[in-house]
Amino acid sequence: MNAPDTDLRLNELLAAHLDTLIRGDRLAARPLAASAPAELRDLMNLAARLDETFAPVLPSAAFMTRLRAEFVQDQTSGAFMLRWRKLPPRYQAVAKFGGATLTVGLMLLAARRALGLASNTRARQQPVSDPVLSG
Amino acid sequence: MTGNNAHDYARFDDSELVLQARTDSGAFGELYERYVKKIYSYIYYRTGNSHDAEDLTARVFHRALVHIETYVERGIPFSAWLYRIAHNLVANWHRDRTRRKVIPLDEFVAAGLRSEAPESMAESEEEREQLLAAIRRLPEERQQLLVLKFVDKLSNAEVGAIMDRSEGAIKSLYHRTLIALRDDLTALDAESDAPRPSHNLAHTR
Repeated sequence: MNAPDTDLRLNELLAAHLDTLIRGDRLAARPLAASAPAELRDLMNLAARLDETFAPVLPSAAFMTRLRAEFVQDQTSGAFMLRWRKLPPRYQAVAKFGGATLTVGLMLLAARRALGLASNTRARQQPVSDPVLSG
Repeated sequence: MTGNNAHDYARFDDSELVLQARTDSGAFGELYERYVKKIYSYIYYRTGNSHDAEDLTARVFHRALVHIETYVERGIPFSAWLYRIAHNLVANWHRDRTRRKVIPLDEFVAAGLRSEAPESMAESEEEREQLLAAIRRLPEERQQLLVLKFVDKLSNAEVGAIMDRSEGAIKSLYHRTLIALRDDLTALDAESDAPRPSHNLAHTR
Protein backbone atom coordinates (compact mmCIF):
# COMPACT_ATOMS: atom_id res chain seq x y z
CA MET A 1 0.00 0.00 0.00
CA ASN A 2 1.43 3.42 -0.86
CA ALA A 3 1.37 6.43 1.45
CA PRO A 4 -1.86 8.08 0.20
CA ASP A 5 -3.69 4.75 0.48
CA THR A 6 -2.42 4.31 4.03
CA ASP A 7 -3.50 7.82 4.93
CA LEU A 8 -6.96 7.16 3.53
CA ARG A 9 -7.22 3.94 5.51
CA LEU A 10 -6.14 5.67 8.71
CA ASN A 11 -8.63 8.48 8.04
CA GLU A 12 -11.41 5.93 7.62
CA LEU A 13 -10.47 4.05 10.80
CA LEU A 14 -10.38 7.24 12.85
CA ALA A 15 -13.70 8.40 11.38
CA ALA A 16 -15.31 5.04 12.21
CA HIS A 17 -13.98 5.22 15.77
CA LEU A 18 -15.30 8.78 16.15
CA ASP A 19 -18.74 7.79 14.88
CA THR A 20 -18.84 5.02 17.47
CA LEU A 21 -17.89 7.49 20.20
CA ILE A 22 -20.43 10.15 19.28
CA ARG A 23 -23.16 7.51 19.12
CA GLY A 24 -22.41 7.08 22.81
CA ASP A 25 -21.13 3.54 22.34
CA ARG A 26 -17.90 3.70 24.36
CA LEU A 27 -17.83 -0.03 24.89
CA ALA A 28 -17.70 -0.61 21.16
CA ALA A 29 -15.08 2.11 20.73
CA ARG A 30 -12.58 0.45 23.10
CA PRO A 31 -11.91 -2.73 21.08
CA LEU A 32 -11.64 -0.57 17.95
CA ALA A 33 -8.86 1.38 19.62
CA ALA A 34 -7.21 -1.76 20.98
CA SER A 35 -7.06 -3.43 17.57
CA ALA A 36 -6.04 -0.30 15.68
CA PRO A 37 -2.55 0.16 14.25
CA ALA A 38 -0.09 1.46 16.84
CA GLU A 39 0.09 4.92 15.22
CA LEU A 40 -3.66 5.33 15.68
CA ARG A 41 -4.03 4.00 19.20
CA ASP A 42 -2.95 7.16 20.99
CA LEU A 43 -5.07 9.27 18.61
CA MET A 44 -8.11 7.16 19.43
CA ASN A 45 -7.40 7.51 23.14
CA LEU A 46 -7.16 11.25 22.63
CA ALA A 47 -10.51 11.16 20.80
CA ALA A 48 -12.04 9.36 23.80
CA ARG A 49 -10.68 12.11 26.07
CA LEU A 50 -12.19 14.75 23.79
CA ASP A 51 -15.53 12.99 23.95
CA GLU A 52 -15.42 13.19 27.75
CA THR A 53 -14.21 16.79 27.75
CA PHE A 54 -16.94 18.18 25.54
CA ALA A 55 -19.73 17.78 28.06
CA PRO A 56 -23.19 18.64 26.75
CA VAL A 57 -24.39 22.17 27.43
CA LEU A 58 -27.89 23.57 27.27
CA PRO A 59 -29.24 27.10 27.13
CA SER A 60 -31.35 28.11 30.12
CA ALA A 61 -35.07 27.42 29.83
CA ALA A 62 -35.81 31.11 30.52
CA PHE A 63 -33.60 32.19 27.62
CA MET A 64 -35.18 29.69 25.22
CA THR A 65 -38.70 30.70 26.15
CA ARG A 66 -37.92 34.42 25.93
CA LEU A 67 -36.29 34.10 22.53
CA ARG A 68 -39.04 31.87 21.18
CA ALA A 69 -41.63 34.43 22.30
CA GLU A 70 -39.94 36.99 20.07
CA PHE A 71 -40.73 34.83 17.06
CA VAL A 72 -44.06 33.21 17.69
CA GLN A 73 -46.02 33.62 20.88
CA ASP A 74 -47.53 37.04 20.30
CA GLN A 75 -48.70 36.75 16.72
CA THR A 76 -49.64 40.45 16.45
CA SER A 77 -46.47 41.98 17.79
CA GLY A 78 -44.52 39.08 16.31
CA ALA A 79 -45.84 39.92 12.85
CA PHE A 80 -45.02 43.59 13.38
CA MET A 81 -41.49 42.79 14.53
CA LEU A 82 -41.08 40.42 11.60
CA ARG A 83 -42.08 43.16 9.12
CA TRP A 84 -39.93 45.70 10.96
CA ARG A 85 -36.83 43.50 10.87
CA LYS A 86 -37.32 42.87 7.19
CA LEU A 87 -37.22 46.60 6.39
CA PRO A 88 -33.86 47.71 4.96
CA PRO A 89 -31.80 49.68 7.52
CA ARG A 90 -32.31 52.90 5.51
CA TYR A 91 -36.08 52.58 5.74
CA GLN A 92 -35.84 51.78 9.43
CA ALA A 93 -33.79 54.96 9.96
CA VAL A 94 -36.30 57.05 8.02
CA ALA A 95 -39.19 55.51 9.97
CA LYS A 96 -37.41 56.24 13.26
CA PHE A 97 -36.74 59.82 12.19
CA GLY A 98 -40.36 60.24 11.10
CA GLY A 99 -41.59 58.82 14.38
CA ALA A 100 -39.31 61.11 16.38
CA THR A 101 -40.38 64.19 14.35
CA LEU A 102 -44.05 63.36 14.84
CA THR A 103 -43.53 62.89 18.58
CA VAL A 104 -41.67 66.20 18.94
CA GLY A 105 -44.34 67.96 16.82
CA LEU A 106 -47.15 66.63 18.99
CA MET A 107 -45.26 67.62 22.12
CA LEU A 108 -44.78 71.17 20.78
CA LEU A 109 -48.45 71.42 19.89
CA ALA A 110 -49.42 70.17 23.34
CA ALA A 111 -47.00 72.60 24.99
CA ARG A 112 -48.28 75.52 22.91
CA ARG A 113 -51.84 74.65 23.76
CA ALA A 114 -50.97 74.35 27.44
CA LEU A 115 -49.15 77.69 27.37
CA GLY A 116 -52.10 79.30 25.57
CA LEU A 117 -54.54 78.00 28.14
CA ALA A 118 -52.33 79.25 30.95
CA SER A 119 -52.04 82.74 29.49
CA ASN A 120 -55.81 82.88 28.88
CA THR A 121 -56.39 81.91 32.49
CA ARG A 122 -53.98 84.56 33.66
CA ALA A 123 -55.67 87.15 31.45
CA ARG A 124 -59.06 86.23 32.86
CA GLN A 125 -57.75 86.53 36.39
CA GLN A 126 -56.40 90.08 35.75
CA PRO A 127 -58.71 92.79 37.27
CA VAL A 128 -60.46 94.52 34.40
CA SER A 129 -60.49 98.28 34.76
CA ASP A 130 -63.92 99.91 34.50
CA PRO A 131 -63.75 102.67 31.91
CA VAL A 132 -66.45 104.69 33.78
CA LEU A 133 -64.76 104.50 37.13
CA SER A 134 -61.30 105.01 35.77
CA GLY A 135 -62.38 107.86 33.53
CA MET B 1 -49.70 23.26 4.33
CA THR B 2 -52.23 24.59 6.70
CA GLY B 3 -52.78 24.90 10.36
CA ASN B 4 -50.89 26.81 12.94
CA ASN B 5 -50.69 24.31 15.72
CA ALA B 6 -47.38 22.87 16.79
CA HIS B 7 -48.42 19.27 16.04
CA ASP B 8 -48.74 20.08 12.35
CA TYR B 9 -45.35 21.73 12.07
CA ALA B 10 -43.54 18.70 13.43
CA ARG B 11 -44.64 16.70 10.37
CA PHE B 12 -42.81 18.91 7.91
CA ASP B 13 -39.19 18.74 6.94
CA ASP B 14 -36.91 21.76 7.10
CA SER B 15 -37.37 22.76 3.45
CA GLU B 16 -41.14 22.86 3.77
CA LEU B 17 -40.93 24.81 7.02
CA VAL B 18 -38.54 27.33 5.48
CA LEU B 19 -41.08 28.08 2.74
CA GLN B 20 -43.88 28.34 5.27
CA ALA B 21 -41.81 30.49 7.65
CA ARG B 22 -41.78 33.32 5.12
CA THR B 23 -45.38 34.07 5.96
CA ASP B 24 -46.00 32.12 9.15
CA SER B 25 -44.03 32.79 12.32
CA GLY B 26 -45.19 29.48 13.82
CA ALA B 27 -43.20 27.59 11.18
CA PHE B 28 -40.13 29.60 12.09
CA GLY B 29 -40.80 28.71 15.71
CA GLU B 30 -40.60 25.02 14.81
CA LEU B 31 -37.26 25.53 13.04
CA TYR B 32 -36.08 27.42 16.11
CA GLU B 33 -37.08 24.54 18.37
CA ARG B 34 -35.23 22.06 16.19
CA TYR B 35 -31.91 23.88 16.19
CA VAL B 36 -31.64 26.29 19.11
CA LYS B 37 -29.88 23.82 21.43
CA LYS B 38 -27.33 22.73 18.83
CA ILE B 39 -26.56 26.28 17.75
CA TYR B 40 -26.23 27.34 21.39
CA SER B 41 -23.85 24.43 22.18
CA TYR B 42 -21.75 25.25 19.13
CA ILE B 43 -21.47 28.91 20.09
CA TYR B 44 -20.91 28.13 23.77
CA TYR B 45 -17.84 26.03 23.03
CA ARG B 46 -16.57 28.56 20.51
CA THR B 47 -16.91 31.57 22.85
CA GLY B 48 -16.44 29.93 26.24
CA ASN B 49 -19.21 31.65 28.16
CA SER B 50 -22.96 31.39 28.40
CA HIS B 51 -23.64 35.14 28.29
CA ASP B 52 -22.10 35.60 24.83
CA ALA B 53 -23.50 32.24 23.73
CA GLU B 54 -27.03 33.45 24.48
CA ASP B 55 -26.46 36.81 22.81
CA LEU B 56 -24.99 35.28 19.65
CA THR B 57 -27.62 32.51 19.52
CA ALA B 58 -30.34 35.16 19.55
CA ARG B 59 -28.56 37.02 16.76
CA VAL B 60 -28.27 33.86 14.65
CA PHE B 61 -32.02 33.33 14.72
CA HIS B 62 -32.83 36.99 14.17
CA ARG B 63 -30.52 37.05 11.18
CA ALA B 64 -32.03 33.83 9.85
CA LEU B 65 -35.51 35.33 10.19
CA VAL B 66 -34.52 38.48 8.34
CA HIS B 67 -32.92 36.56 5.47
CA ILE B 68 -35.20 33.55 5.28
CA GLU B 69 -36.98 34.97 2.22
CA THR B 70 -33.76 35.05 0.27
CA TYR B 71 -32.49 31.68 1.47
CA VAL B 72 -32.47 29.15 -1.35
CA GLU B 73 -31.54 25.56 -0.67
CA ARG B 74 -28.84 24.97 -3.26
CA GLY B 75 -27.16 21.94 -1.78
CA ILE B 76 -26.85 23.66 1.59
CA PRO B 77 -29.45 22.40 4.06
CA PHE B 78 -31.13 24.91 6.35
CA SER B 79 -29.20 23.58 9.36
CA ALA B 80 -25.87 24.12 7.59
CA TRP B 81 -26.99 27.64 6.69
CA LEU B 82 -27.72 28.35 10.36
CA TYR B 83 -24.29 27.02 11.39
CA ARG B 84 -22.65 29.23 8.79
CA ILE B 85 -24.42 32.27 10.23
CA ALA B 86 -23.26 31.18 13.69
CA HIS B 87 -19.72 30.65 12.44
CA ASN B 88 -19.58 34.15 10.91
CA LEU B 89 -20.92 35.76 14.08
CA VAL B 90 -18.43 33.85 16.23
CA ALA B 91 -15.59 34.88 13.90
CA ASN B 92 -16.65 38.53 14.24
CA TRP B 93 -16.91 38.08 17.99
CA HIS B 94 -13.31 36.81 18.13
CA ARG B 95 -12.14 39.65 15.91
CA ASP B 96 -13.75 42.16 18.26
CA ARG B 97 -11.82 40.79 21.19
CA THR B 98 -8.12 40.83 21.73
CA ARG B 99 -8.20 38.12 24.32
CA ARG B 100 -9.94 34.78 24.43
CA LYS B 101 -11.92 33.90 27.47
CA VAL B 102 -11.38 30.71 29.39
CA ILE B 103 -14.26 28.31 29.16
CA PRO B 104 -15.91 28.46 32.57
CA LEU B 105 -16.94 25.32 34.33
CA ASP B 106 -20.54 26.30 34.76
CA GLU B 107 -23.15 23.96 36.12
CA PHE B 108 -23.87 22.29 32.80
CA VAL B 109 -20.30 21.36 32.14
CA ALA B 110 -19.79 20.32 35.74
CA ALA B 111 -22.86 18.10 35.45
CA GLY B 112 -21.28 16.48 32.44
CA LEU B 113 -18.20 15.38 34.35
CA ARG B 114 -18.20 11.70 34.98
CA SER B 115 -18.56 10.55 38.57
CA GLU B 116 -15.14 9.82 39.90
CA ALA B 117 -13.34 9.40 43.19
CA PRO B 118 -12.60 12.81 44.74
CA GLU B 119 -8.80 12.37 44.62
CA SER B 120 -8.83 11.60 40.91
CA MET B 121 -11.27 14.41 40.15
CA ALA B 122 -8.76 17.20 40.73
CA GLU B 123 -6.24 15.52 38.49
CA SER B 124 -8.73 14.83 35.73
CA GLU B 125 -10.05 18.35 36.04
CA GLU B 126 -6.55 19.70 35.50
CA GLU B 127 -6.11 17.43 32.48
CA ARG B 128 -9.42 18.55 31.13
CA GLU B 129 -8.47 22.22 31.45
CA GLN B 130 -5.18 21.44 29.73
CA LEU B 131 -6.99 19.77 26.87
CA LEU B 132 -9.46 22.66 26.51
CA ALA B 133 -6.56 25.12 26.46
CA ALA B 134 -4.86 23.06 23.74
CA ILE B 135 -8.09 23.03 21.72
CA ARG B 136 -8.26 26.83 21.96
CA ARG B 137 -4.74 27.05 20.52
CA LEU B 138 -5.84 25.17 17.38
CA PRO B 139 -6.64 27.09 14.18
CA GLU B 140 -10.26 28.20 14.01
CA GLU B 141 -11.43 25.63 11.43
CA ARG B 142 -10.07 22.77 13.54
CA GLN B 143 -11.84 24.04 16.64
CA GLN B 144 -15.00 24.31 14.56
CA LEU B 145 -14.63 20.71 13.38
CA LEU B 146 -14.16 19.36 16.90
CA VAL B 147 -17.19 21.22 18.23
CA LEU B 148 -19.40 20.14 15.33
CA LYS B 149 -18.36 16.51 15.79
CA PHE B 150 -18.08 16.08 19.56
CA VAL B 151 -20.65 18.59 20.81
CA ASP B 152 -23.29 18.67 18.09
CA LYS B 153 -22.55 15.10 16.99
CA LEU B 154 -23.05 15.80 13.30
CA SER B 155 -22.24 13.36 10.52
CA ASN B 156 -19.27 13.99 8.24
CA ALA B 157 -21.67 14.89 5.44
CA GLU B 158 -23.36 17.53 7.63
CA VAL B 159 -20.02 18.94 8.78
CA GLY B 160 -18.89 18.98 5.15
CA ALA B 161 -21.97 21.01 4.15
CA ILE B 162 -21.27 23.55 6.89
CA MET B 163 -17.54 23.84 6.20
CA ASP B 164 -17.92 23.58 2.44
CA ARG B 165 -15.70 20.49 2.11
CA SER B 166 -16.11 16.91 0.98
CA GLU B 167 -16.60 14.09 3.48
CA GLY B 168 -13.11 12.80 2.66
CA ALA B 169 -11.63 16.21 3.40
CA ILE B 170 -13.43 16.31 6.75
CA LYS B 171 -12.02 12.90 7.72
CA SER B 172 -8.55 14.00 6.72
CA LEU B 173 -8.89 17.27 8.64
CA TYR B 174 -10.01 15.31 11.71
CA HIS B 175 -6.94 13.06 11.47
CA ARG B 176 -4.59 16.06 11.16
CA THR B 177 -6.37 17.85 14.01
CA LEU B 178 -5.85 14.91 16.35
CA ILE B 179 -2.16 14.74 15.41
CA ALA B 180 -1.73 18.48 16.03
CA LEU B 181 -3.50 18.24 19.36
CA ARG B 182 -1.46 15.23 20.45
CA ASP B 183 1.80 16.97 19.47
CA ASP B 184 0.81 20.10 21.36
CA LEU B 185 -0.01 18.11 24.50
CA THR B 186 3.20 16.09 24.22
CA ALA B 187 5.25 19.27 23.87
CA LEU B 188 3.48 20.73 26.89
CA ASP B 189 4.22 17.60 28.93
CA ALA B 190 7.86 17.66 27.88
CA GLU B 191 8.05 21.34 28.83
CA SER B 192 6.61 20.76 32.27
CA ASP B 193 8.81 17.68 32.80
CA ALA B 194 12.00 19.51 31.92
CA PRO B 195 13.92 20.65 35.03
CA ARG B 196 13.96 24.43 35.39
CA PRO B 197 17.18 26.11 36.42
CA SER B 198 15.56 28.20 39.11
CA HIS B 199 13.63 25.33 40.72
CA ASN B 200 14.82 22.23 42.45
CA LEU B 201 13.80 18.82 41.15
CA ALA B 202 11.20 18.28 43.84
CA HIS B 203 8.99 20.81 42.09
CA THR B 204 9.01 19.15 38.71
CA ARG B 205 6.49 16.53 37.67
